[in-house]
Amino acid sequence: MGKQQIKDGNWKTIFGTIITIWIVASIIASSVSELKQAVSEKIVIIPIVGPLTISENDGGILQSGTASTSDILDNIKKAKDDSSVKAVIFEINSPGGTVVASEEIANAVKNLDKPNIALIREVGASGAYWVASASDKIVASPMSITGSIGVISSYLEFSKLFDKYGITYQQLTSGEYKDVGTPYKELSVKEKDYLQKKLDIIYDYFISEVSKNRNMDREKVKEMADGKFYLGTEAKDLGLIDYLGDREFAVNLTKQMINKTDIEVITYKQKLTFLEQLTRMSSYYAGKGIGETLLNFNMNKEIKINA
Amino acid sequence: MKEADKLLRYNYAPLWKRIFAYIIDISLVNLIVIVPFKTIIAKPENSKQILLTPSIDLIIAILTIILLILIYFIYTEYKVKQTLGKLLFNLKVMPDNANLKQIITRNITKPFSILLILDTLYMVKTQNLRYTEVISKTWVSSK
Repeated sequence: MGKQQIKDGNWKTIFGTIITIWIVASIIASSVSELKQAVSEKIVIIPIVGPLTISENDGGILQSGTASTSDILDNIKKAKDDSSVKAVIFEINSPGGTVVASEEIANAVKNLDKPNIALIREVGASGAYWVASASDKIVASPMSITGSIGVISSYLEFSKLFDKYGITYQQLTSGEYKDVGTPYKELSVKEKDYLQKKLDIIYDYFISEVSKNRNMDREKVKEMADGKFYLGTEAKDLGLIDYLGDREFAVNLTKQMINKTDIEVITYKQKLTFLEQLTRMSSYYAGKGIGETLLNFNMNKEIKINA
Repeated sequence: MKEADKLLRYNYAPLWKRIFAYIIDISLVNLIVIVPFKTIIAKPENSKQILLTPSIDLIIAILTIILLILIYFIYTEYKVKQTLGKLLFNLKVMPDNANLKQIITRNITKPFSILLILDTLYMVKTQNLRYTEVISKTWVSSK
């Protein structure tokens, strides 16, 4: 065998060994981390970010970053079933969302049989506040936006535009209110009244839930439930939140609640859309505002009720 | 045998070449073995506990690192008588017919820096050989 062949053989053996060792080290390191995470006691942070919706966040390329109920409920169930999870922090940054999504998440938070805290970051308003109210304690920054207890229903109506172009709306319905909320005709007084009654029921339910969750007088909640939002400092004075503080404060408070100072804190990741992953990688804040506004523009013809 | 005769017969590698070869090897080992475990080792609770009550993940991490460092040096030196650093500086572990026991003995201090320093300090006496090289009857020569 020539010298060159021996040298080539040595290179191959050495590089083969290096690559094998690197792969083995990486596999063992990640397994050990997972094992450790699975068995050690921990506090879990569950992010609730973006508008709350029951639709599945499948990570579609143009899907806006919504907080899908199923993702959040899965995370809550995971934390509930995992005996090593000693407490949960719900890190909320959401303007609210659909009524059903808000209620489903709030119920799951209420039924979580572990100490839990809601940490409101920039926004935790309307339906997101409903969710926060279901937790044991609420922490928010002095400048966080919270409250905004109320129900809103909106949709785009094009009937005037149709008139301009001589288009008429024809629909055959077998029930008087079957086409209520269609964007092709103006709402009648009766229809408005009908929809308003539905909103009032939801509004009433929302107030009852917040009042029960926060152990506050119903009338007091109703006084604040005029849709106004409150800054953290105001919300604290009104009793809508318990503490003013940041993430570190929330973590320390949770540790105090469970009497454990030396405990791991991990975050359950929220499923990100492709667009979010891209925007997070690039200049996140610059593009996000514009992108979200465009993506959240609701062209859906169906009527939407949000809390 | 006189020192000059020894040098001629064994063709001992110059110390500077061995040092540079070792720097390359240890940097490589750091990259492929220690970096993957960085998140475990760097955990604040682990750095506090390292000498008192190491956690199970830390123990596994340290044992794996030791084992993989040994495997790197022992396997490559046993198979081809060279590590990457030695290959780049044309160094070779001798004798050619060194057995596995000899190779294990000469590398046993590699994962433990304090032991390796003590092992290397023996060179003050022998000029060219670490203590483990003396007991394993191996040496490093320039090809």
